Amino acid sequence: MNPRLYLDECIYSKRLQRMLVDAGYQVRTPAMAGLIGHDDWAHFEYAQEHELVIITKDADDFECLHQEHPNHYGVLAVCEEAQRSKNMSYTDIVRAIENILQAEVSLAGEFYILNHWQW
Amino acid sequence: MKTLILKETQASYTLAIDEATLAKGPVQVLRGEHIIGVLVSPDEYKLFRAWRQERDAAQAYQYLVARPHSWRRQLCLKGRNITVGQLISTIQANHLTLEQAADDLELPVEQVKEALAYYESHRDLIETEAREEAARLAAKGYTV
Repeated sequence: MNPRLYLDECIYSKRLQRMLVDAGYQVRTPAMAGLIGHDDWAHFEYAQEHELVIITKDADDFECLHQEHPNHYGVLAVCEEAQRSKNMSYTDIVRAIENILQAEVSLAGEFYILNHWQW
Repeated sequence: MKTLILKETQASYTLAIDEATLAKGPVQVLRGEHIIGVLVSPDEYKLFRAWRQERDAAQAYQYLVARPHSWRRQLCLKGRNITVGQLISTIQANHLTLEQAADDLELPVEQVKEALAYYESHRDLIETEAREEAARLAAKGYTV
């Protein structure tokens, strides 16, 4: 069964949400959670409480939260590239999530950088 | 926060303070019951000055704002927990027009326009911070 996902505010987009739903995921958003404009901890805590895997672009800050509060359901981070042409598109992100799930790695309590799961 | 009492000895003042104490955090200076100043370490003061400069710069923008962060200085979208760099990477990676980005991220067109203008004038800062994030993750053992 696919994990349920939480799109952090910094990565949320209608198109990405729709593409993930079309790919078979249940997706929660900051608007659904009533957390627009809230800090990282509020998003992290919501995902933790609702057993959601977090998708975020705020890689370093969520890695810190992952270290401090490891009892979460998984953090999948997209790193921004200084070389802008290398940044991941929505299609790249959906494919990387599919790749990481197909690899059957454990997500709970883990932090992964999605940039490495593109093929 | 540690508090020091400023004692008047005729015309001179004395304070018992050293770098090790300041490294632990700010120190309040009192004269009687009144706080007359706060001492911070040079590193902390440097961060404060950088934050104040960014805050002052942010006042020139209508849709962007400085959000407190331990090391990041670029501006964020007002009312959202999104940096300008994060917005721009989404726009560029998905080849979005200004109007498409506004619709897709549910933002006012004017906010996206202002973020794009900020990116053009602060490209070095935003790219430096992307590299800084990668360096921080690398220092923690992640390959970026």
